[in-house]
Amino acid sequence: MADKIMINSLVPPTWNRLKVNETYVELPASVSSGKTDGAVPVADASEWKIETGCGEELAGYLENNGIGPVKVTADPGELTVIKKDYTADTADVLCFEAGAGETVNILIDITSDEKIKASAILKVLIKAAKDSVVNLTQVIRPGRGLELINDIGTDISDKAQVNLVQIFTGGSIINAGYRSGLSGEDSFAGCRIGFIRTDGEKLDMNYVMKHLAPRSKSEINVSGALSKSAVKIFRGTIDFVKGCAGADGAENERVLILDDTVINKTVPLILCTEENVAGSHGASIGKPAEDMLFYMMSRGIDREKALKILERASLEAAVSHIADPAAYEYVMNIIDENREDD
Amino acid sequence: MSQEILKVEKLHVKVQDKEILKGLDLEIGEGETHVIMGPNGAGKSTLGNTLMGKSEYEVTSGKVTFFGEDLLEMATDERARKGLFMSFQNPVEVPGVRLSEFIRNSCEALGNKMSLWNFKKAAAEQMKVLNMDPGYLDRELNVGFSGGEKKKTEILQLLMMKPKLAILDETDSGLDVDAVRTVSEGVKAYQEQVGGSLLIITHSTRILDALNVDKVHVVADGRVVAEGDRNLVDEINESGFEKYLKA
Repeated sequence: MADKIMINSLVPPTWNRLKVNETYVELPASVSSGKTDGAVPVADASEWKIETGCGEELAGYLENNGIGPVKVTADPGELTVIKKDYTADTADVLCFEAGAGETVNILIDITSDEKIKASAILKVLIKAAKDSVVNLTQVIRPGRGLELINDIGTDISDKAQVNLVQIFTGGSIINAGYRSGLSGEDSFAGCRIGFIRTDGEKLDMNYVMKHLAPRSKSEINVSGALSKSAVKIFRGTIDFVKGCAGADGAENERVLILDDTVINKTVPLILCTEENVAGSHGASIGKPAEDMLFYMMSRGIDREKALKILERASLEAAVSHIADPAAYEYVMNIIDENREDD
Repeated sequence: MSQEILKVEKLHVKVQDKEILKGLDLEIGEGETHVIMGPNGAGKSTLGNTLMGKSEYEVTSGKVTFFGEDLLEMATDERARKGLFMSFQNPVEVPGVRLSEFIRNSCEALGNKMSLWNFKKAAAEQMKVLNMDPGYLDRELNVGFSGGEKKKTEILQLLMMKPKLAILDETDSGLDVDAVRTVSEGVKAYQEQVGGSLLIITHSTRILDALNVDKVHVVADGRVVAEGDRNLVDEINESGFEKYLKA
């Protein structure tokens, strides 16, 4: 029997009629643990109790299914590539740690065959010690039969930073959670997200930047394109907790609406119990500007192709912020391959 | 005159119910360079945008043929594929689209599909003419470009796409002397490499210094009010447009 759990809940909730307060997902009664090269179970799971964007009910589900955290050692200065090609109902909790002053680059590439029908859960937990940098890139491009929960939690110490770049294409339903615990002074969390959703695909996001320490900074930038009955919900919360004086958080979203059949919901939220902070949000949501299309068509590109190019540009706006050259090249190769297929 | 490629007859165009072009005539032959001059509001840019097919510009009467075919019946992308090009006065910014991807897609649309290697090699050669760093190819199209960088990028597209007729709409406006010289070198390279025709819409004449000009048309109040050879440029430089406004 399937389990129904609540994920991606908004704190605090808004009007029920908007249907964005939370999302309910049905998960298989049991899932098997995924395999990751070089991963070893963590010695003390309690040390990896880090809050995530999807929330506690997902954590409970994983625990009930015996899915414990495993640690993957990422060598500083090198790119650690983890490929997840899903073939069955699977769940993983991957833990990464950057020691003081280290720079760690991680790339997670998620795929599945078009014919595979399955549910997958990938939870990623990150600890960034003082003065460290974690650059995490996720390419999420499964086949249409995969329903995926991709959930992230971070704990960021003094002057440390976690830079996340995520690309979402494919998959029928993707639920994405992210929560950064900015517990260190002068810590930084950045999210660059690019998505293309089409043909009824759904993307449900809940991203939370929790500012706990003075002068902590956060940025969430989302760019994407929606067409053909696709659905997207983006919840972006910047939470300034008392004591985080001098903190600065910003969130921006740019969504290209390519036809009238799509559903696009955006919930920017700034919570504040500290006075001396700066928080901002902005959104640009709409159809492509006719001037832009005219310019592209004046070069011989037909309207349909111009829209495809703009759609892909939504991804590239995020990709261009990948800090590690090897990770950038990896992702650009995937985008260029798709370009050749068009 | 060499073989005629563009013929504009009694063209009337309105924008938001205001008539801008009021019976404009123009003929351009293969390989010729024509210059359109005129005061602000004369309808010079309206002509360029109408020829390229911008939807806000409504043709109320008149005829335009390009290589004998009815240009006004074609969509903008079809006009480009027939060999028409316009260098924009204010090119739009297209976030997320790399310059290299845009030009490569454009060349492909015009029937010149290139491998990435060949494309980069060809682009680097043309960028040398324009004194541009090849690193620009990886930048987002026109995003954060200065006025001069945008104009150079337009001319780079001209050199890569090799159209049969290029309309340059105020390509020299807002540029310093050095930038005008570089852009002018690019246009000259187009004349030499492609031998295509040019319709240069301009207020000033600095861009013309290095170019062979076949004919100059003065446009005022939506019509061509005077025509002549290159000497007409010097005459306008000396006396301005006043006498044509009174005509």
